[in-house]
Amino acid sequence: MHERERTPIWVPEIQGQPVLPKELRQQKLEIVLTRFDWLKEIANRVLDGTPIVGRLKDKVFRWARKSSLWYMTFGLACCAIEMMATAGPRYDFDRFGMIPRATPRQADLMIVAGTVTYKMAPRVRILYEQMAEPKYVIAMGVCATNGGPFYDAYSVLNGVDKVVPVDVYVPGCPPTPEQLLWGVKLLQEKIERGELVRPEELMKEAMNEMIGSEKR
Amino acid sequence: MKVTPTKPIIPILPSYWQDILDSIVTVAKGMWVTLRNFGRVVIKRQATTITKKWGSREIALRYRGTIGLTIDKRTGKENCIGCLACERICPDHCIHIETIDDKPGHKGKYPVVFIIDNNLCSLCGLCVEACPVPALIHTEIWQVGGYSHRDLVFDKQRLLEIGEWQQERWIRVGIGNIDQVTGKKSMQMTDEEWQAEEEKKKAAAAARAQRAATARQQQTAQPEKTKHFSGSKAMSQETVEG
Repeated sequence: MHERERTPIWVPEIQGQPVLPKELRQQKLEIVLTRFDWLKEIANRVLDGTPIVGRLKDKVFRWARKSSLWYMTFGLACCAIEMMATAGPRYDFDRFGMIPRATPRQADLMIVAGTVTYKMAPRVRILYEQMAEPKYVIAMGVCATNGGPFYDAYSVLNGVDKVVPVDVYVPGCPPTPEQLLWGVKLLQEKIERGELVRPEELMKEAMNEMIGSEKR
Repeated sequence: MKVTPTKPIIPILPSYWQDILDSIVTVAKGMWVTLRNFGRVVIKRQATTITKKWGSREIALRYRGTIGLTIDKRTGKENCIGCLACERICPDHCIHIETIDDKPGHKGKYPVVFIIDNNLCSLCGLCVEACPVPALIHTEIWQVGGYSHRDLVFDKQRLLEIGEWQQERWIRVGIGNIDQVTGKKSMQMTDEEWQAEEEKKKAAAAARAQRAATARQQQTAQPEKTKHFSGSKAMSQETVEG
């Protein structure tokens, strides 16, 4: 695998992968980036110039991103079963506009469900790189967040955040479908409001709601 | 001249009609199931999807949610006695406790720092089983998640909040207080009870001292017997020598 300067995160090599020369790759990247700069700038100027749209642009973009999180099925271990259960009819992922995709080109969100071994780590990285921006990652289960019961094992990566940047961590072994849905909620809040949300406050709100809906 | 061979006539077996009948019956059965479910969802309004947006199914009593620390309602102190049983048994090493000795009002030790690292905890429930007092409990809360590893590390204050919420919920629903739910007995006491206990201990020590003193007095009051014994011993030794 060729080197990437954009990210300082450690990337393991795969044997037999074709490697592009460094200079050529840099050239290619610059050409691609400069080709679309003018289009982006014009679009930004037009949108910011108009009175109503300029104000709403950010909100509309965030709303669109939030409500159509197509996710890539990345089942690596037992957490995958829970992920499938969440996509099933009981806890319907479809009502949040989330559709499973088998290819990274059409996905916005990668749910890494399960133990990431050293053998699988470079593949996770490649698939993350192949996804189109904006892209998000949910680490599902304690194995994906921190290694979990396999912490410091000889063959297991201690959390996917060593390889890809993670947005939301969902603990549990495996987390229930509700908990995964809660992780999706946290991600939606993050997309909508930026990094201002605090998970403790959301948790307290939910606790108060549960008190309100009690049967006596 | 080419002669086409005549095809032998295959007799229709009775199993052929049986197969056709079976296919009709099985299709009808399948359609009946779909129809029934259609009626259940559309007419009776019993949808399989959970109705709340971020809600959950009904949570059972033995649900192993996130872990909380409890408070003794009678004394207003936390139930934990700092025995470190949970820290020792944890297979993921996610509990960290620091204790001080001899805080008045607490039996034994008292935890100053109590941290559960939910990044590593797989909610196996061994710590809850190992706890000798009703201090650690599984709560019904599943709304756990965070944007960083630090969000998932629960300190003592947070654990106490969660545990107290769960205790109150159990009392409100009518399951009972924490001792009844866990089947263990709290070892905490109020300051007055602690003082009474201390006085009892003092009194017991004084009584013991008095008993020892009386015993000593009795020993000193009977010096003749001991002399007698020594004398007899000396006599016997003399006889042996003689």
